[in-house]
Amino acid sequence: VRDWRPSRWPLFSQFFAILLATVMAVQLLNTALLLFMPTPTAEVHSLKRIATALRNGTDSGELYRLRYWTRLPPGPLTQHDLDLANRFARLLGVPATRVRVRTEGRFAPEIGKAFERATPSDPPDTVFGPLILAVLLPDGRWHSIQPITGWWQPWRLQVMAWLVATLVAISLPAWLLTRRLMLPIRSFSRAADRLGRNPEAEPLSLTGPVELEVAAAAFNAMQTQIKRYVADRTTMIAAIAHDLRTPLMRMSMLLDHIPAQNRAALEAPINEMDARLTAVMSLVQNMTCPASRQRVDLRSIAQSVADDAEDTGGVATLIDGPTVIMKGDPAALKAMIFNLVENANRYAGEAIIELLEQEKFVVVEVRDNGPGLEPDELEQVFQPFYRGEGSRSSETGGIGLGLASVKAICRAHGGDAQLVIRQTGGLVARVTLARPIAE
Amino acid sequence: MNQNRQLPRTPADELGRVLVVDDDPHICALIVECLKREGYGATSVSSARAMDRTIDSEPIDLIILDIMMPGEDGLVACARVAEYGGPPVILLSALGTEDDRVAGLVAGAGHYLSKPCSPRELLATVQAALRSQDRGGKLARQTYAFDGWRLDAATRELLNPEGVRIDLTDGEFAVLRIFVERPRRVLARDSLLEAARGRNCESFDRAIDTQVSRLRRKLGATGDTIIRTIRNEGYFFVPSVTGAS
Repeated sequence: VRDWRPSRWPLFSQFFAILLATVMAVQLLNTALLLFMPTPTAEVHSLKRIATALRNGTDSGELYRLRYWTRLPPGPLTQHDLDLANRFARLLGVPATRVRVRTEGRFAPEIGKAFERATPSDPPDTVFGPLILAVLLPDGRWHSIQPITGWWQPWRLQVMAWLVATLVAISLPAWLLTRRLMLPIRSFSRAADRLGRNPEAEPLSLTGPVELEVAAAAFNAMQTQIKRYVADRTTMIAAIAHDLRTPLMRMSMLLDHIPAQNRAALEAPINEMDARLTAVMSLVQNMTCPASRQRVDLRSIAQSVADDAEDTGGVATLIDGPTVIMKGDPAALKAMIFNLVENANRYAGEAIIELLEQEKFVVVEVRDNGPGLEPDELEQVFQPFYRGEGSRSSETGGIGLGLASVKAICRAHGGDAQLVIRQTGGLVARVTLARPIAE
Repeated sequence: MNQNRQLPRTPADELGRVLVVDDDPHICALIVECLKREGYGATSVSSARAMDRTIDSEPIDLIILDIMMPGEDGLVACARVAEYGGPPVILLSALGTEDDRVAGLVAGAGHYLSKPCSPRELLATVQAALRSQDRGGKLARQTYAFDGWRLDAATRELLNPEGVRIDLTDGEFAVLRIFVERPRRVLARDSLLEAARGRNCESFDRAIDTQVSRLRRKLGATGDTIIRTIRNEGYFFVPSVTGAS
């Protein structure tokens, strides 16, 4: 059964309804304005006063502005204007052809006419509405006079105040309605964010506008696909491990049957192959599997790596500092720092580890004073299976997956890794890890 | 597999009877042969279901259990055996990642071996597993709590009072575990070292003093008050420990 509550309407309909309702409310209020606003009062001018001002070149009350023109702009000449010009010409004692009048506004002349009709025999001195009067001077210029009308007339102010009040009155309900409209969208984005951080989270179960339900369904389908993808990769890793390590296990168990002098010769390649398998598997793991999230002290991890390196004949110094608490996968982070420290030890014989805390990132730096790298190699070394020129031998060990793994782990933690040549020579591996705000 | 079942059953002569569960017949045969050479009684089956039947019909002291098998998964089988208090289990897995190891220990396995392993490693682990059984200590999952800290012995997870995970090296974990198992007692350096080695902890190669000082650093500013040095005698773990579940 279809749910007809407004919150379940399609977004389109909801938005359209709000728009219509707002426009209608505004129209109603403006109609009220039309009905209840007092009619603006018309201006009343005295023709005599205008004539005096024109003759003197100035108005006693400074209500009129006088100007000179070389040419009058063409304007409509109505019968009313011509009548007015005639009357004015008589008043000034100049021929009517030298006087021009233009009245403006629509209703004021009508009122004036009605007034004049009431007293036809004796045309009054008064004239209504805005007007411009001009007289042609002997030198060919026009001398004009017009009332100085301020923009801020009371009726205009009243209309403005009314419009502002309408805006304020409408904006509160409009704001509330729009906010309500946006609520499901906001909860959708929150749910999507939660799902993005933890793929194992419950699928979205959103009820609301049709469009959002469709989006949630699409999102859930994508989620299922990602999960299946990860599961496929995990199955693949397990299959590789099983199929390749089972024969290795057999070989390893056969070691006892081999004369002691040959045993080491067989044991070494078995271990080497096992190590390479481990490297490939952990790279695939880090590249495809979402990192688990746990609150960890990164300093304790770096300390463990440094101590273990020292115990196995390496050189690693961790620069002292406070605990560095972040969310991450402890095993992956440990493997990452281990890879960097091992690299530094392999190529430079030492590693200096420093942890730096920034507002949004935790930075891990592993520095050395070794031979460094060519600038064009700084990026390439992060490619899987890349090994520098001349190091493609088992002497330096590894199969070129360490830094690729480091990068994959950084990416899984919302960060990145890069190598920089130090000014003093040597390299610094700089890793940034995102530091989500506590939830 | 039948030839393995026709072993002369002389338990009195055996160091212990081991059941090998792996779907690869060659590996089964090789492990059984290796164990027998060292004087253990050994037999093998190829699935978890066959394992159940054998446990029901024969006295078994130890199970070496492969994880990836057709049919029931080794982890599930291991959890089931641990549940009803069956023989101790050594898990044998081709995966060997940290997570995998933790999953195995959480499932109740006493030990974990990753493939490939040498006969030497295998025998050492079998020996350790049987010895821990002799001591009567069933390797159940155990969590210890002290001064707000929590240590999970199976997952090696140490949480500080704020719930933040503090990483431990193998050596530090071995020492801390002995401390929490024997708190409020003076432990001599030698006995600490011995106990840590008995755990089959390979990387335990540093002098005990170094491990203790590193452990103190991991425990933070309160480290010295948690582990007290008793001059000329050894160390003393100050807080009382509760074995929380």
